[in-house]
Amino acid sequence: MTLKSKHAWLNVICLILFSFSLSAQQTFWAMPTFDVGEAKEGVISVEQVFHYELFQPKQGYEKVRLVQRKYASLSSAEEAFVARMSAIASLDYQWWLDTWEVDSKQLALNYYANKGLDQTYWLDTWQKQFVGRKITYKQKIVLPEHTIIIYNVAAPNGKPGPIDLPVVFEQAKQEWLVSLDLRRAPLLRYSPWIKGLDKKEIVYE
Amino acid sequence: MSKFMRNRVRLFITLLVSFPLVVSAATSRFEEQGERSFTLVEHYKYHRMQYKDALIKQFYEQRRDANEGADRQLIQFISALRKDNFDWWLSNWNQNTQVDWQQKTELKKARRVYNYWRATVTKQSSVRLKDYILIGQYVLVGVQIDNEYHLLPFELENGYWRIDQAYMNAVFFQKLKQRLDAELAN
Repeated sequence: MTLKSKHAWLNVICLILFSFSLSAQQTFWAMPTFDVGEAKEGVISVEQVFHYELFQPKQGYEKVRLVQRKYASLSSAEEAFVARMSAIASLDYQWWLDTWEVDSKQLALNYYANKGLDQTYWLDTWQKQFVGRKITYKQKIVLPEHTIIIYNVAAPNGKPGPIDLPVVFEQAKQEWLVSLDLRRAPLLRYSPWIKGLDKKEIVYE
Repeated sequence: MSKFMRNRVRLFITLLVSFPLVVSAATSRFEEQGERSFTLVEHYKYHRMQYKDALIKQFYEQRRDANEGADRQLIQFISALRKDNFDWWLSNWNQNTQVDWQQKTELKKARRVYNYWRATVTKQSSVRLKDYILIGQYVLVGVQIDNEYHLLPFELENGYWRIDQAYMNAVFFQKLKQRLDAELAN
């Protein structure tokens, strides 16, 4: 055996020993500081079933018909949605603020303030993305305590916009107001109504 | 028919005709498609290491601001209770938890949780580390205090291990705790 081939064999043996030591003592991103046994892999599974009522817009009622503030109402989620869209399309910031539920409004305004999203930003955004655009109803989802209206804002050429957007409403006293209650809810996160999804399975590694 | 009566009849007819339109505008934009259901199944993988007879006999005398590991932070948490030091105990929780409790000062939320833990840990309590579990970005440390099993989720916040109260409310966390609890009981 030449010196070169001896070195090659030595390298292979070292590699095998190194691999063995890795498998024998697993390393993780955080380790305990007291003596422990070997790490064992486990899995915990949680199944949640959500129920909702699905509504589609009737033929001829797809287009959102905007109203002046004096004709607006918050007596139902649908009316509140019309008020919300009318406030945005008429660049009425105060009216838009008045369509929020109090706690959700505070949460939203704090978040926007941290991101520097002030009144000027919103008016500019609405001017560019809402004013003069066709808004259509896509779906209505009714949950025990909330109603979600899904809508689409058309592009300037009148073609449907790329994504459908949800607005969540909750009833506070006699009025339906915009709510952030469902911001972390899995049902809204996965919005199964978009593709008619009835089950989703996720593995968190 | 008097002019007054004619106006009343006209108003009545107008209302009769327009009322269904108003109701229609408010209720008939959508048609029901029926009830639907959506099943979400989430699998959380974890790595579990069991401590080898880790009975804790040495506790901290005072707060130490150092990253010495999640299990050492748990010992600080228990040390604060043994010393009856509320501020030290509170510093073991993450910022979100502390902010949440500040917002619930009228409910004395922080004090109520503290009182629960004070009733759990006494100077005579036996404290034995049981589990070190890695799950996502969290380290869960299982500890047996006297005969009760407790599981606390730690996350790294600005380089320090801190406990997250919101994580303890998650369904999978509760389920995992129940599983480990039952294992200990058997």
